[in-house]
Amino acid sequence: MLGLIQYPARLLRATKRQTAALALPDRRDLETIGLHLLLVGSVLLIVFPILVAAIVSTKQTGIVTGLADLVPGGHVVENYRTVLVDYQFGRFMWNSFLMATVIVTGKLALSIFAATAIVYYDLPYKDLLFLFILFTLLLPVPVRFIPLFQLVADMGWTNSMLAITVPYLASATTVFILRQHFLSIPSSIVETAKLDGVGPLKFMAFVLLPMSKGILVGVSVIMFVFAWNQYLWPLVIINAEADQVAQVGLALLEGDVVGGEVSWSLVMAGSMLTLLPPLLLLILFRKPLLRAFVIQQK
Amino acid sequence: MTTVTLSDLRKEFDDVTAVESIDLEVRDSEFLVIVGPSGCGKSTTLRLIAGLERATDGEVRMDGRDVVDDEPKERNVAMVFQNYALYPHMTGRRNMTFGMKSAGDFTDGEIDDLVAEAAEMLDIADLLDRKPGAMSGGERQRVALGRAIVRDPDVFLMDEPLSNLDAKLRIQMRAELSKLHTELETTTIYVTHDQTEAMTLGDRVAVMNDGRVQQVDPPQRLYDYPANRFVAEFIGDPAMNMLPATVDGADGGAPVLDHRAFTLPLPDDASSALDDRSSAVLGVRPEDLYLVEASDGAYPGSIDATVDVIEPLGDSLLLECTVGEDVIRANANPRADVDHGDALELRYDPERLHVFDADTGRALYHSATTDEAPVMHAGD
Amino acid sequence: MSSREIYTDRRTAGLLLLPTILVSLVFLYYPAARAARRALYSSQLGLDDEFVGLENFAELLTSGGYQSRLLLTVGFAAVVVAGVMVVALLLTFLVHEVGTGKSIYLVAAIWPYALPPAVAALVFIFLVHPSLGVLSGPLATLGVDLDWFADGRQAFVVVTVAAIWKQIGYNVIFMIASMNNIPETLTETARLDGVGRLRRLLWVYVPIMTPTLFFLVILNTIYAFFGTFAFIDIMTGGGPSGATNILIFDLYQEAFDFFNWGLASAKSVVLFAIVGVLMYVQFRLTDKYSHYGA
Repeated sequence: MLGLIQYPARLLRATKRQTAALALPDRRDLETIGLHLLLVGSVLLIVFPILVAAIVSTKQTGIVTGLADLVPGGHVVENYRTVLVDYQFGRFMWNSFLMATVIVTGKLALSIFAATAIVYYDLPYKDLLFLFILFTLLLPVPVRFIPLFQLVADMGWTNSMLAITVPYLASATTVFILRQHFLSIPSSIVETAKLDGVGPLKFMAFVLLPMSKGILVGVSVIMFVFAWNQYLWPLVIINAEADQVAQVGLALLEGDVVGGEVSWSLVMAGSMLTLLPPLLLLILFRKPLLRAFVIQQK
Repeated sequence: MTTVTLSDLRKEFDDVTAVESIDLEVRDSEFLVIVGPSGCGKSTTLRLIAGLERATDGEVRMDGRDVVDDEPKERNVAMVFQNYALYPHMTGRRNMTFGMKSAGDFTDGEIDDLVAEAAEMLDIADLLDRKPGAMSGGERQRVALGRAIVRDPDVFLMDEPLSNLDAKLRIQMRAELSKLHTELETTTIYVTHDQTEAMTLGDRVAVMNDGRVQQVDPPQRLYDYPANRFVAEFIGDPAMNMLPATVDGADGGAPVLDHRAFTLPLPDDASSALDDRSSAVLGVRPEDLYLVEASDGAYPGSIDATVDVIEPLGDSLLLECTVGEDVIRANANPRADVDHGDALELRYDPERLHVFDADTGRALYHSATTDEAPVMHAGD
Repeated sequence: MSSREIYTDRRTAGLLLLPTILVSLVFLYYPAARAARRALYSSQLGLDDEFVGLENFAELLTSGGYQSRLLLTVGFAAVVVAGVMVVALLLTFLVHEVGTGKSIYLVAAIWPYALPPAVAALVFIFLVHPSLGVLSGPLATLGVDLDWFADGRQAFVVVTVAAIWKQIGYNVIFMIASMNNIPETLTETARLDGVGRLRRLLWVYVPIMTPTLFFLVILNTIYAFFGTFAFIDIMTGGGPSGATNILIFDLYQEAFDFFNWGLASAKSVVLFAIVGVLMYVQFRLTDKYSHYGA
């Protein structure tokens, strides 16, 4: 009995091996190993600079003259404490965090409103309106920071949270992504709401937003990373050190190194701190992030 | 309960006219099916009734009241969509109640009772706490039906509700829909492209083409007395054979249809219907054609045909034959001894002949004898 | 035939759109218009504004310095775009081909997307610092004598590599989505035909990915033109002797070091024109190649 069953099974396995033999099984295994080696190599290469930074941030002086010196030191707590407290990095990080949070929240709200109006309202000149919003893609900060600086300075917003948040609140990209997503919601669902006489606010709160959770998380991460990594505009409009954001704070810290006050290990500690929030978000929310990006491209 | 009357209803989109001109009376408690090929305007008609589209011209009346300017909500209709249109983030129960609570016409207690009632009727009690993602297609469709039922609407509007289901489930749901309608007696307008669905479900069936209603009649009448070529060919599967012929002896005596390959005498009463035209189109359904067995002897007006294709369907043999230069299909006995290339003689049922105008396609004559005179709705 | 436009109340719609339109007008359109106007004036620190017409633009066009900076920027962008895309494409392909551990490799490949440019710049300074750098010693034994604080060509290379590094993740994100979209049957057909991996990448995948690759060329170009400001500001300050002085940094200096607002505004307008042309090209190319992929 047993033999009878085993025989065809063995036959099956043999056939399988024969099919695979077309592509030479041993070579395939070698290829797979080679693939992993190549990948590990490339990934290490990409991670290497940050690994170095992480290690250096734990050392006392940050003088590393060769690869052999790349062993973690024992000054983790001390270094990070010094950067956060003595060099105001806690303050910078908080400012950055506040700025990014306000930008994300504000942009999200404004973009949801705008995209809802564009998709779900019967409006005249709608295409023109959408074009008006899309056209702002042509006006990134670097193209207009000089007149913007004058405008914001005239408004008396220099050194304020308003200055580094409000100008960012209109977002063509976010409106675009949300519009694409809204258009992908089956129209019959929308019509069901209409048949029931569901009002716009209720529709937004109970139908639209719950059906957009993933995309909202995705665009939020995109917006956070974008806001957190802003450098040029805060550099220009913020000149009181206490109001500065982490990106520019880092540059200030580096200035201190050149001036001989600070060791590189502290700069690296600051770098690690600045990298951490966006990196965490990316790792935690990579799936919705990737999905939002796919939509953006369309 | 509710009648729906469409008069001279018309809908133009930017560059196309989806609905040309519709006159249609849906009776109280009736199950009316609108059937037609894709693009014929049947869905647009339904959406005009729902209020999801605004009519370019014409009237929609419910119980005599003109509702053309009413919001969909004010029309008290419930719609079931092909893709179910369930909110994916809500449970079955919430899907059913969300719209009702928005409308605010019911108290919470009433809603609970209605949901329980509908759940029992549709056997979906165990689906109420599940989200659509965890339901099969058939289960989703039941919940979508439940959502329509709890609204207690004046009219059910159904837009191809079974088209996303697999064949077996579709047949089962078809029967359930019939039963449900018997139970609820709510006026129902049902759109489909599937003529079998139309025939099995409808109290009456409206056949649409090119934005117009071609004929509205009970299913059997539609089959027996098609008002024009379009209806004749759309209803019935395989489609009715259409053979162009010349008309002889129309003046005075009984007319004779002359085809290149055969002549077919018509009864006396056909002469007035054919007037004195010289050509017409003969329509015969494949199931009204029979193989002449050798023992039958000579048969007047039989048709000589050559077999090209044989399709065994199990319960019958579908033969595709050449007659003169035309193709004709016939249903033969499943175990008939026929081979490819055989020359056959086909007999027809003289009670089941149809004659159409060669130009307009309008039905001129049906040979069936019946008490009722055929009602023709052809828009020619 | 179906319609999503279920609401008709224009007042509500207006209210929903108002904030976005208002912010766009005040902080995007108005400054742009102001820059365009200002570019027609000569306004230097301590002097009254004076209408000079197109003089500022004429000055830019004839200025040898500005021309060479424009050329430098184009060269910088070309190297960054090509470098990023080749590296990212190969990396994406490796991730695409690997079976086990795919999602871990993917995260390890896309993380530089989150990397702040300022951090990237600082880490790179430290890595290849002429006197303190971790890599300076090993590179010296290979015969490369790092001296990029003084050597313009080396500075250009260092900044370029840092800029490429930061942008890899962003490219992998788009490329992996595009590559995953390629029908499995095409891969299998290629395999049955005995097409090798690299040939499959170049002759099967890349052509299908064309729309995505075009999109990325434009995005990366905009990044090289504008997104690399922090690298220049932190790593080289445009030097040594202008070797890394790309347009965006030059513009910043014109305004905030030389306070020559009129000329700076004219430079803004030039940058705007460059973004405009790039976007237009992208728009046309996407249109033209949209039949691929999907």
